[in-house]
Amino acid sequence: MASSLDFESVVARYYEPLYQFAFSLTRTEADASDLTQQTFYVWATKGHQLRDASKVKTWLFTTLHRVFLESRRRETRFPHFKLDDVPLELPALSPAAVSQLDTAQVLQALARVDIIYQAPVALFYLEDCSYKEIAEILDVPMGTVKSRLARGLAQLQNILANEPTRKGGQ
Amino acid sequence: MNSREAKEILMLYRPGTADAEDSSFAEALQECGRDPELKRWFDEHCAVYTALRTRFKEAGVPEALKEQIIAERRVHTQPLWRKAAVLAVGAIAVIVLAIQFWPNPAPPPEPHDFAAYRTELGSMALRAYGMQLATNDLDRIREFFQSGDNGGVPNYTVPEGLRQNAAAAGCVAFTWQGKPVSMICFLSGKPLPQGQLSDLWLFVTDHASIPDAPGTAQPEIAKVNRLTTATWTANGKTYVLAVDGDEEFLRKFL
Repeated sequence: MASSLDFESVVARYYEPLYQFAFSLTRTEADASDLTQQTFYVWATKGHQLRDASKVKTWLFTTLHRVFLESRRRETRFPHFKLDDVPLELPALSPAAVSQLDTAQVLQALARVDIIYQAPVALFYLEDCSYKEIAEILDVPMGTVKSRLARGLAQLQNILANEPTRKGGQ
Repeated sequence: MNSREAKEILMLYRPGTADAEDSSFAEALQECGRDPELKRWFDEHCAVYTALRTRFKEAGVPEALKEQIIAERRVHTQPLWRKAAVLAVGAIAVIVLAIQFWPNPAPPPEPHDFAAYRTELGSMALRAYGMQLATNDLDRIREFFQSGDNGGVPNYTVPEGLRQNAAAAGCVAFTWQGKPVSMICFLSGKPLPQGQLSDLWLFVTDHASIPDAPGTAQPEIAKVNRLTTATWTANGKTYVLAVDGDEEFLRKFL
């Protein structure tokens, strides 16, 4: 049972990937720290309800994502998406062009991707989770994860390909 | 499988991960061996993926974050005897409630103690919030809460340090666990981080709303995430002053 897990060992194991996921969503150190701390606060108060210790990782990522969405809901209403309008082809984006970007630029670009795709794209690049785990975290079927990812990656790379500060690459 | 279908599958492929053993990629990977143009595209995809992955992974974790998380947990930890007592009382309460509401059991309550309250205030201060009244006039803020139409808690005392060393920025009324709270925002004069409306926050609520909050007029200092807080109670009101800075900075405003 998950309640038998030592709090400090859970923190030690997961706080870094959780923080990186939080940072990719919020883009500020303060907000990412708060989000990570809030996630472990929820774990401290409700983690004992988790029956399967093997699900701790997805439980933590799911909780962080929910806390993030909850805070976003307070700030703004979700926009509507016309999924069919998004091209699935990845634009021409060269490795050399990406190497000229810094983390802030990449995360700014992620922030311009439709919000529904941001979390799957972040989890895709942070690669701490398998597709099955991403599906569990987002609470959607595997097929939905893949279609959201395809559209999210296309949007992200499209934005990066048109990044004005980039020198060359198309 | 044609080249386009293979690309649609392989655009989700992550080199250097367990995706290599994922059977859903196997056929498309084999196709790369037969199609030089597809292979060139795939190599480029892997290189772009690796470069972008590096950018995502470059976000360094703050040094003290782990210690802060563990320290915050300790704030919530109770002595064993108290846990046992709480468990015993809780067990009785559960039985009583189960009998009373058996067909429709109530959901478990949210944490309702001072530590949870203070944590929520810390998060609230750093979240994006809209001022209900934006003004640097403390009298107007007092009238706002005094009117009774806007919620919050009236009849509070602003510490002398805040009056002397900070400028009011506005206020917000909200509720925590159904109890009214007044939030008065101040500016210390330091440059504000981008998107932040203030860097000093005075929260006021009735002490009866949070009975386990510190009950004396002597401020109790504690860290909450990156904020430093002082908590005290006077004339039946519990005050939490939160600042975006350290204890020395905080004490200028008490």
